[in-house]
Amino acid sequence: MLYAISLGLFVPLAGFLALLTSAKVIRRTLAGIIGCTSILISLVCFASLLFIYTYHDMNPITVTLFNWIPIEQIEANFTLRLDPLSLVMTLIITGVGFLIHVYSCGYMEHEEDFARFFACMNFFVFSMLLLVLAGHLLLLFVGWEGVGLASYLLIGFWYTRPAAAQAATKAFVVNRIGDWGFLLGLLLTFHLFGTGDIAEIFKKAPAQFSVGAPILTLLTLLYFIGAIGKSAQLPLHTWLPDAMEGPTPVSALIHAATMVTAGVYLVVRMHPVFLLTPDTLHLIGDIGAATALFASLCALAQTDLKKVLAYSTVSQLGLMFLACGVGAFYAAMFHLTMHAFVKGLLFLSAGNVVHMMHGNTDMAKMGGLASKFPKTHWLFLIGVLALSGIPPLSVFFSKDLILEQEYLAGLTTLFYIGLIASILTAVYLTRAYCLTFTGKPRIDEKVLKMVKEAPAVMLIPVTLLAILAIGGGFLGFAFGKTALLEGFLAEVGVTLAEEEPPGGLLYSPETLMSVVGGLLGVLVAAVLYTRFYNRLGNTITLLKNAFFINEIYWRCIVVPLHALARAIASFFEPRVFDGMIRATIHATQKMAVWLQRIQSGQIRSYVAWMTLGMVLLIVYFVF
Amino acid sequence: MDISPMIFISMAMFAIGVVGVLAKRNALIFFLSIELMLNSANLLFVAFANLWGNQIGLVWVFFCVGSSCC
Repeated sequence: MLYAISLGLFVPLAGFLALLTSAKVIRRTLAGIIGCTSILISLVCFASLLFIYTYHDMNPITVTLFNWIPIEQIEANFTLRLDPLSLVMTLIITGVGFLIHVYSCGYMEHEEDFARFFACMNFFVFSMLLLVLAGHLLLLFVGWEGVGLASYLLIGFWYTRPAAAQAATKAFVVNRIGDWGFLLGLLLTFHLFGTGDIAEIFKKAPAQFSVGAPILTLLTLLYFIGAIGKSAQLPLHTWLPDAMEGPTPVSALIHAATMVTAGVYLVVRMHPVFLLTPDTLHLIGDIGAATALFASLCALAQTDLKKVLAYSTVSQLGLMFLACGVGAFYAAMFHLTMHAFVKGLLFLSAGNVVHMMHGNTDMAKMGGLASKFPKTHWLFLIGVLALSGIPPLSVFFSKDLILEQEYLAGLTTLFYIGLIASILTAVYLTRAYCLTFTGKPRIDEKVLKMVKEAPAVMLIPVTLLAILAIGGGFLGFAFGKTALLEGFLAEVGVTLAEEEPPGGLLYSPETLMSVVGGLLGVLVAAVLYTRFYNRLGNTITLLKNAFFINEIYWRCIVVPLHALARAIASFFEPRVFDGMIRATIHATQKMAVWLQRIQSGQIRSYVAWMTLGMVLLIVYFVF
Repeated sequence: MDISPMIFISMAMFAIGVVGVLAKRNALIFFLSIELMLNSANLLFVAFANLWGNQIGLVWVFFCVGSSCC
């Protein structure tokens, strides 16, 4: 057991190190094989752990590898915790991750820095696995930071492009703001509970504090700030659309399926503590709803294919937090899983198009590609329909579960916001599909001749994801009985907040509303964008620029900081710091010159000094 | 027996030697003065050896004179 977990966790790290050190000399095929195989080994480890776990009816196990930081107050051991929640996450990470690695072998084939790419991807997988397997919050934080770093490395993969470098820095910095919150929360945890071990915290929190205790609310708020940063919620969402500067597999893996889900994972993992603080939960729900709506609106007006998907991710994450906000943690996890499949599918099939168009992501230059991409356009369409919530595709079950939980909890405003966001999702996704694949081509003649369907190495992973996107829903929903996923996660207390009504999920009015809304959205957008608007048309500037939040941040925060930095560099640093250093140098030199006079080279003066010293010693000892 | 005169003489010899080392430019007088200082120390050893009836100090004198030849 120990070996399986350690192997699964550390093999990607080994892959990373191997690829990093041999990046310049290794051949492309070997690098690809090492990169993909390490994730495959991880996947096999965790799949077999799942098998063992379910068929041997096990309890969550905690494996302590070594005593990491032997300080009393924080008790930081290298503790790995394997329970249903972390198993689900590791399977998503390694499963979807493996498919994306295989896809990348095709996508990055023309790339010089092939090995470096896989090194960074492996490092990312390792960090993310560390994050979800951590049994101690400090260890989780290590993984948390690691994925932030990996994100920086991968978004800025093409570091010679200034836009990519800036986007990478922005992602890291905005993430850091969230990390600040998390770190403060961590310190508060050590102070309150004297330990960072997750199991210990779960035992101590209800014992020491009552529901709604202010200090505990502060604690969960700080954790949530970390989640806001990592999962790109309002107001720290600005990095995710810009992160599309990275290669498409990166967008699929990090910014759709895994890293951004770290925030949701944190909230779900710490749910016993969150359940003690209803105020924070309300805030989580509100922010989630606001983000979902906001991002959906912005996605309506984007011209860049990947940015549409980026805002879509932000929106869906908002829905996950919406679920957490009402206590329906299972709905959040279910949606997380389905979203990982579907978003991966969407990003990768979009990547097929982008790759063949040599990096062009602007939909203004696309159109009518359905004939050129016979298989990809079906895959993308499946993704669009799935994410729009059309039954019986996967996301329908998870999204409707979330909306239903909201409705049953009595939070009708949030329910309607979520509903509108879902309908808008259908609209903008169909819009993206139509603008890319239908209508008259708006492409250059030369490019049009070169474009063809993607190779098998890129198609097969996408197809597998499509199958998961179609059938995945039945993992989590089973017509009135307890679904596989639900029963599995219930062991760790990740359940729903409200009981389902007697008719079950399928027959309630709110489900009807969302299905009808989704279908309507798809139809309306399809009609609009194929018949009437088959061009980009005018996009509402406010929405396209995401309500100018980036500009506000730039003006209010970045510009003053730049000015401050310039002032320090031009005035403070030369005069004050350099001045102090120069003064020290000057004083030292003067003293040295003065002392040099002792070294005359004349023996007599040496003897004279010696006698003087001797006399002083004698005087000292006698008196 | 009273050794205080010897001590005074020893101190005087030493002082004269120091002055000689510092103030004389002639190399021969310089080394002579160093010997003088050495001898003042020897005198002290002998004096105290006599006072305490202990022969150990005299051994040191022999070493001293011997080493200063070289």
